[in-house]
Amino acid sequence: MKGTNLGELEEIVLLVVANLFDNAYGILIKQEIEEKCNRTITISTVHNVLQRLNEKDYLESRYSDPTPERGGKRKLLFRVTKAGQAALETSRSMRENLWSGIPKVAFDQ
Amino acid sequence: MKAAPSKFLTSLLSKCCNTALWESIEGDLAELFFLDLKKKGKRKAQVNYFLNALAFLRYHRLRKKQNSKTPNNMALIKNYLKVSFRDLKRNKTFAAINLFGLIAGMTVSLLMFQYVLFETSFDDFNKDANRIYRVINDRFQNGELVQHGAITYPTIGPTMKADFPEIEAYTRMTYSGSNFINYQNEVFRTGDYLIADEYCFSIFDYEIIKGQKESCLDAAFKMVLTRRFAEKLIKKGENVTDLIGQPIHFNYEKPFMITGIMENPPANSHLQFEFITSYKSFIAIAGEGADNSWEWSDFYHYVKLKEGVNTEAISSKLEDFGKRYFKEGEVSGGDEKFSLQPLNEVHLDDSMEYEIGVVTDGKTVWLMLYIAIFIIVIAWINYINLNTSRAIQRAKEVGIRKSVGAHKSQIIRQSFTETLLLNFIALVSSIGLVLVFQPIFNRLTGLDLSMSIILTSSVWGIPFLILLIGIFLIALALVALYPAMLVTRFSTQDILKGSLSLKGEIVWLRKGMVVFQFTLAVILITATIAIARQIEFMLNRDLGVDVDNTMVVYGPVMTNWDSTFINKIDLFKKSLSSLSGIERATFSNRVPGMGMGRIFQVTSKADPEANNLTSNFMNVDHEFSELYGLEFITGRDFEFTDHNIDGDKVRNLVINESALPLLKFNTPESAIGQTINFWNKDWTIIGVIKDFHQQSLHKEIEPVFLIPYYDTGNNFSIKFSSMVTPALVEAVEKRYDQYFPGNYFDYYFLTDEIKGLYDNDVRVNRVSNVFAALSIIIAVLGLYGLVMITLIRKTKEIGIRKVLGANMGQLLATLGKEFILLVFIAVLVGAPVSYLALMEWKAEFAYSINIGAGLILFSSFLLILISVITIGFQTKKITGNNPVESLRWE
Repeated sequence: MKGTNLGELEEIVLLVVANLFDNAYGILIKQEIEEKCNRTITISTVHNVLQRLNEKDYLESRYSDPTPERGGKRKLLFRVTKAGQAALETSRSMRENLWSGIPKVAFDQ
Repeated sequence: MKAAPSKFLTSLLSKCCNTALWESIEGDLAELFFLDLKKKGKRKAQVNYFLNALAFLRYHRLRKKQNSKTPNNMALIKNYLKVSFRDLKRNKTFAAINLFGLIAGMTVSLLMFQYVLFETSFDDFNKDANRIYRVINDRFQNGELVQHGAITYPTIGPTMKADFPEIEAYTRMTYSGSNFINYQNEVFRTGDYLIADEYCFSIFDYEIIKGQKESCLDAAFKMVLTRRFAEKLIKKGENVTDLIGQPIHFNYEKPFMITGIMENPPANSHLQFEFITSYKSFIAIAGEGADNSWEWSDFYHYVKLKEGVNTEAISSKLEDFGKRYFKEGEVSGGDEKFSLQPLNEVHLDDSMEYEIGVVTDGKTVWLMLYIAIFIIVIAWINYINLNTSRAIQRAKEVGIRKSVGAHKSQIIRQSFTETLLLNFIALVSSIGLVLVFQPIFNRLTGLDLSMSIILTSSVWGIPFLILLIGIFLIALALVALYPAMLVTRFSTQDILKGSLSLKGEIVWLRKGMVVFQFTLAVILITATIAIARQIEFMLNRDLGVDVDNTMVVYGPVMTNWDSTFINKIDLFKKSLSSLSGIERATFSNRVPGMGMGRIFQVTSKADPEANNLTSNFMNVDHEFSELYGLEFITGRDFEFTDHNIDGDKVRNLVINESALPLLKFNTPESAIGQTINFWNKDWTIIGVIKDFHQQSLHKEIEPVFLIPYYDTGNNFSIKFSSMVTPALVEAVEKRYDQYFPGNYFDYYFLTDEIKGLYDNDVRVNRVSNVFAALSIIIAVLGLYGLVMITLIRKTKEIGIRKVLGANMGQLLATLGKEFILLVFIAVLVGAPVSYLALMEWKAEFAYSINIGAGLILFSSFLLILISVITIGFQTKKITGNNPVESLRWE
């Protein structure tokens, strides 16, 4: 497995999964990203990122009960793992650390 | 609205996607589809479904995993290769048989592809080639076809253009053979050249280096030179384009101005020429007839149809066209039928009389390709046969592989690897061989071919190389598949127990393929021998005309026609025959081997019904028959007094035997003193000569009139009493220069020229020799290998038979009969096929050898003999072993 740091899209997906706690699955994640982040994303890309995060053990998944609007197929539901949470926190603190280090003059107007 | 995601797409995707994730993917896609359906409608939903589904294939994470969890294909492939190499090394004989066949087949095929691609590429450089047609003209008299020609009347092009709105453009042209020109006081001999109108360059896309495409031929006395001719004229340091505006003198008072320089016509142009003079100059010199005659047919027309025009519709209109203008014989003496010949078929059709371009026999071209493919097929059959036969021997290996867990597909892959390896080695070697043999091949075909034509050509709009690779891979798949499938069909238990035998179906297939190979071999042997004998026949047949020790000197075209011309020629000839070593000389417009002109409106006074007859004619002098050894049946030869400087006073002629029935004379004697009419005057027959072959033996002897006309364009034939010496040629040249100053002395020997008529046949013969030899060798090698495998399997049987007292002859009979039988069957199948092919081929020649059953029997016998020797040799080798050795064999 490659490095454990998060890519930008990975971070967003991970955060969205956390937001949607226990309800996170492909379509909902796609819609949430499109709504909150104001960007379009294809369903296949969502699946791909989910799978990547799963491989990194940042997500765990289980199947729901069958639902009629999906042609009777089950949803694959995702939840953030402890490792995922840790990764998000690392990423966040790293950012804050970097933000706090910016001298005031740098962003003056 | 009942709409659902496409089932087909879904099931397709399910085959590609990761099984563990599939349900969620399918569900998400479905959910999206229904959302889209609500918001955007059915069409949009379907399109989005398709795009979304497709997008999943981008990610390897979401795709199906390969069948093993840790794919280690490289290691396996290495193993396949290693085993393949070991097998090749261990079975050197089989490797050699297979490789020899494949290399020979591929080399021959690659060379033949070059040849066929070139021959079929003619005139493709014209960007509208598929809309360009040549007008061809069939001429009928009394319901019989008297001429199937490329030539027609000068009025045809302009009239057609006016009558048919489908025609976008046309060009009218004729050509001249070798001529002489004077440029800056130096005389040059030219090659063939065209005389074409100003539309020439709007039909043909020849590349113009300098000059105006539209106007460089639009007036009299303009001409366009090709680069190769221009290069002959320029002085050191000059550019070909510097010639623009320079005058060139023909034998005519007015000079021609060079108005354009063009690139040489491409090698695959059927029109080959050194320069083009404007058609208007031809009209100015030859008279208005060249523009408006309905009787003078020496002209060629090419038309470009408008886009999308149906050629069939125009063809039916052409029939009316012929009737409308020629009134069934009243105008030109013939019932004229016109048709359009597609430009890209011109080169491959050599049936046209009075051809202007370079043509060849299309059938030969395709035949060569088929034979090349046959050879590689024979080689592939060897591979299949030897491999299926050895399958039993190699079954143990497969059994072991299977029992340690090899998947069926892995066994097949092993077999494919072997096939690919062998064919790849063969391909690389044959590309090497092609490079080596290319110069020899080019000399043989007389063409400048190379591998680049294979790389750059395209067929049906697909690059040929891609097509070739595709076909090659498909063929390989077929070749590899059968042995592979066979191996996987064996049950592992049977293999390891050793109780394996080939099933009937396989044995039959193998026998069938052997029969097929040998059938081809019989046909090829027969064809080769037939071609060789026909050529020998043609080269040695008594033509009825004596062409030995004859030199032809081009006529003094730069000397003007005047009242002294005939005397001047006569004096020159006399001065030649006074030289020791020269027998005599003659002055004629044709020499043996050349085609002749035709007269279409001959009327015989013997029978008033007999009008509108067609005969060939030659202009000759009073020494022609003597020099060429033509025999008089009756009457007399020409005398000097039969010639006259005033053409109107020339009234005597000599005819050949074939002209007698045409003119309705029952006996030669009855023709003498009779009057016939053509060219608007009466002629008296003074002699009848025996038929002789004026042209090659491909052509029938036709009626011929010998007419005692003189012309500046006639050529001298000079007969030497024995071999020609350079000193004699020099002496002739000296006298020529003395009598005809300002002319260019050039000559050739007639026997070479006559041989040249059969160049194509000789070439075909050489190639077919190689082909037949290869096909026999490959087929026999295959048989050899097959016998070897069979006998090795029967080693024990042979041992037992020997112990029981069988001798060599009995063993040979018992063991070999199976194979001999196959060869017999092949002969039975091949003989009738060869016979039919032979009869078809013989029809191409007006005069051919008497071949048939005997030849086929001979070639069949030859093939059987070769097979018996092969089988005998192999049997002897194996049965020669000590039976103790063979019985110990496992």
